Amino acid sequence: MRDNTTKTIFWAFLTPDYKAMIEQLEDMARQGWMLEKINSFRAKFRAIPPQNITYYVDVFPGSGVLDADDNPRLMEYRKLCEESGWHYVTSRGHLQFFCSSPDVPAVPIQTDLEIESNCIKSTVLRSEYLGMLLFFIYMLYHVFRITRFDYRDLLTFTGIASDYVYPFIVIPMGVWFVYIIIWHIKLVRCVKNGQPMPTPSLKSAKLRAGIIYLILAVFVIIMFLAILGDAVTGAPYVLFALIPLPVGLMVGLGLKKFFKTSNNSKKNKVVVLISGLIAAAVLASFLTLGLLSGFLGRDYDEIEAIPADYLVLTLEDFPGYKEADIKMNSLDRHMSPIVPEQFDYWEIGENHQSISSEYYRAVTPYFARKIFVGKLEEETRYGKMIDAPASDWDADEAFYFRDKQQILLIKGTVVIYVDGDFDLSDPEMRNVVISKLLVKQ
Amino acid sequence: MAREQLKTLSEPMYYILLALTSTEYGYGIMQKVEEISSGRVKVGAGTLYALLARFTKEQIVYLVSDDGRRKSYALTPKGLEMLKHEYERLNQMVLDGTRYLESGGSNER
Repeated sequence: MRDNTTKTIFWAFLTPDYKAMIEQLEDMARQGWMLEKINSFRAKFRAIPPQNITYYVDVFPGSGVLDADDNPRLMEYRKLCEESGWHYVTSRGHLQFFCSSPDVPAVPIQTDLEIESNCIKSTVLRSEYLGMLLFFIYMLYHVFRITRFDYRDLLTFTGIASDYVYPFIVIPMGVWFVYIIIWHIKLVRCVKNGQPMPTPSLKSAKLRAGIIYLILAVFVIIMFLAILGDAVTGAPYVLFALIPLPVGLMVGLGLKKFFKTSNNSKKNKVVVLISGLIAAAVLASFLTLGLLSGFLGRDYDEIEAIPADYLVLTLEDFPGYKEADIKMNSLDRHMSPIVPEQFDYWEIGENHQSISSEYYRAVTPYFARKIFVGKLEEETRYGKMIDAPASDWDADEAFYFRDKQQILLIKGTVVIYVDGDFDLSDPEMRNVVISKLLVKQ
Repeated sequence: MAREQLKTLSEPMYYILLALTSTEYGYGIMQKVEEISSGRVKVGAGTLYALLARFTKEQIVYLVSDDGRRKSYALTPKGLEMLKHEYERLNQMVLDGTRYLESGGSNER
């Protein structure tokens, strides 16, 4: 049965717009809904007879993350507010929500803008600037990633999302931070000129928060879809990247509960916080790396038959192959929006002969070239490259490595890399590679 | 918040210190400020809390009693000295203004 006595709505405001919440809360009261609780993005109301209620949202420095819900400072502050006619409703972080009856006008909780402004600076603005700093570090990491381009990022959904989509997150976050800085400057100016604090309208506050949170939600969804994309297209181990989320959530909730119920000193709580964060990082790394190495270190004797449409080379394909059982092999097929066809196969025979082949087909020659250059740089780290006759290989460009037992070539949108115990400059061997990997494209 | 080093007092600070010339608890201070100023100055609970915290820290007021239900405060000798100094300063300003204006100072240019 539908519960008509409570109502939960989406609740998102940018920090400087907290005064705009009052307008919405008073609107809800006129519609017969009284605020009960506010979480990160939700506000819960309970049904009441429609009436006028006056709300006040104040910032109190003694109700931060590390402060207990019943700490003496907070209790004394709330008691003072209660005595002066403001009934405590709920709180979210530093924000304290009070209401009063308009029939008995209460003195506003803050009557001195200078004092109010100092409370805001030491609480919400400090948190925002800390957020800015962390985001700046995060963006530096992305700049570093972009400048140190890795062709392997083109091969996965998550790599593409990280390199080509996530840097754009700087736009909504930048708008957010610029707004906070402008608001801060306005606040300082108001204090200096003795003017009242700027109060945004509910409409503009909701529009701002709506746009920014929507864009951020799109980024989160993109990353989630990218992980899912990799998981279902041949790299299920990327799901291990999600392990830090539940671990972080569990540790975070545990720490929050401890901080909110314990009246330990702030110093002790900081020690607990740091220890908790280290423990969470160690646990998440341990679980992720443990599962990942377990997954990647699995036995390589599982591939019995290679599907006919897979563009890979096997020992059997080569004329010089001395027949022997396959000792180990591994086959991976991946795809990404930029490189929709990728095959990576290697096998080792009982006689220790081996072959491995990598096949990449990109959506455009531009991306194929990126892979080719990346692979070339990778291989030249281990040995000198030797020009291979591109026309013989029916390619745009080709290079041998290591006694011509390795070849890297590009043809249009296709990049091929072969490494085996065969002389690939031999026309017969070359034809095997061309007929199996290039002719079929 | 408080003026630098509390050399001068803002209006709410001055009235709160006036109210604390006798022992008062939190809400009592708010009522007394209104009473002293004939309703002209009102101090909100948040503002009062912040100022009391600051005054206590700077030993301008002290906690007289805390029965768990409410806390009472009063001025320390330092606070009383500060209040007297501010009173004299304001008085001097009024006297200067009165003398100047009554002598037709503003019309002499």
